[in-house]
Amino acid sequence: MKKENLKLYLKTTFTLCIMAGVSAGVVGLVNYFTAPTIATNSILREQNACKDIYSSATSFNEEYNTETENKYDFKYVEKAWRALNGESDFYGLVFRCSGKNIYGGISLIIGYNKDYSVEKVEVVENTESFATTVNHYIKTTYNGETSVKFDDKVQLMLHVVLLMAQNLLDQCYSRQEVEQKK
Amino acid sequence: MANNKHEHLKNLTRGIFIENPLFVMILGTCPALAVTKSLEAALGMSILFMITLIGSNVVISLLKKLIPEAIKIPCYIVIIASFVTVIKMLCEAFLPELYSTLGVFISLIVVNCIVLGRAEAFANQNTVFDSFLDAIGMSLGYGLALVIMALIREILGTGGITMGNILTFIPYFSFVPLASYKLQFFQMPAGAFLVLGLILCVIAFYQNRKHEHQVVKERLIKQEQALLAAQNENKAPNVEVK
Repeated sequence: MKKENLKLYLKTTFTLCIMAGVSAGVVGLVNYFTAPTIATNSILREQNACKDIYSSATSFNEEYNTETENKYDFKYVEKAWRALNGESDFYGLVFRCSGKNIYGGISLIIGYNKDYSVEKVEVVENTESFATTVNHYIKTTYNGETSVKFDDKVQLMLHVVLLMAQNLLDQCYSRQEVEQKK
Repeated sequence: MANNKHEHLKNLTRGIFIENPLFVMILGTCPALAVTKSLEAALGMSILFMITLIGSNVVISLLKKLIPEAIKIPCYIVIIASFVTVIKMLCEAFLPELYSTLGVFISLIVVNCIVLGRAEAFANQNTVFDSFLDAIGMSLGYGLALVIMALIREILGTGGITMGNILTFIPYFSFVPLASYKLQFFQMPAGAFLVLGLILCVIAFYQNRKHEHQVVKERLIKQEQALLAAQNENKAPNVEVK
């Protein structure tokens, strides 16, 4: 290898390394400062969505959280809360479900009544390029006013999530019965 | 000095009208069609785009002598991507409504032709100050185009204007006097295409008319000159006779 070529390759490699290093440093630094705010915003969005779904509920007790436990091993369900009015009046369960594909990710908050019907669905995050259309469809279909019909347009994820939600709800009921018997 | 001032002014204003990135160069059409559903989203996109373009143009202009020719495009991409990632994180943290409205289109600023185009065509060859002015001009031009499109689409699609939902630092106000006459078609992607097409038609019409006027003017000047020349030829012998 010629000395000139070696010099050029070294300069190129060095420049690229410096560029990548500085960029990574800047991005990392900004992430360090913004990550707590982003996490707080996400929790606030979740809480607001829960309140939008069950406006008369006074508390949302955490039922399930993949971050702390993984007892159900559901694919899309990340969190679940019990929507309560006071201590005993149980409206249903609220699920946070997230999924990803090549087009991006989507996170939904689904209100699921104790009679196995969908109360309302709120989109908390959608990074797909056709997000506006999907969000509009979900918002108008599961708005808590119209009766929910499952047709071909409903996303597969929602079907799977609802089946799992039903399973989780059944388990909640059985646990309640056990507790009551005790 | 005056020449320099004139040059700076030219760099600043070129992107706004003569070389408008969207209406003249037809660049950055994908976000323009997607985010112009509401005036607020368009304004938000314009602000984020302006910060990215100014930052990348200035940094690229600063580093132009240090970046080897063989790897300049990867380096530009790294610089632009870093700016966009930083802006995306800041937007997610401090303007979450704007972040969720623009969604993937914030990340897609990285592949916006205008940003890489200005880096390669201008910032790479000019001073930091000129690159800064060029970035301001281009982003103002792009922002102006987005705002015009969004204004038309929002008024026709919703029957008025609503502000303060997405850009939360603006006080909320809603003025929707034509709500019962709204044409929701203009809120859909096809409506965006139609609006952009009609605006381009109007611009093309005025440009053609200007060009025709210029041609007619030139022809008239030529005819006048020919007439004068003919008169002179006719007069000259008369003068000689006298």
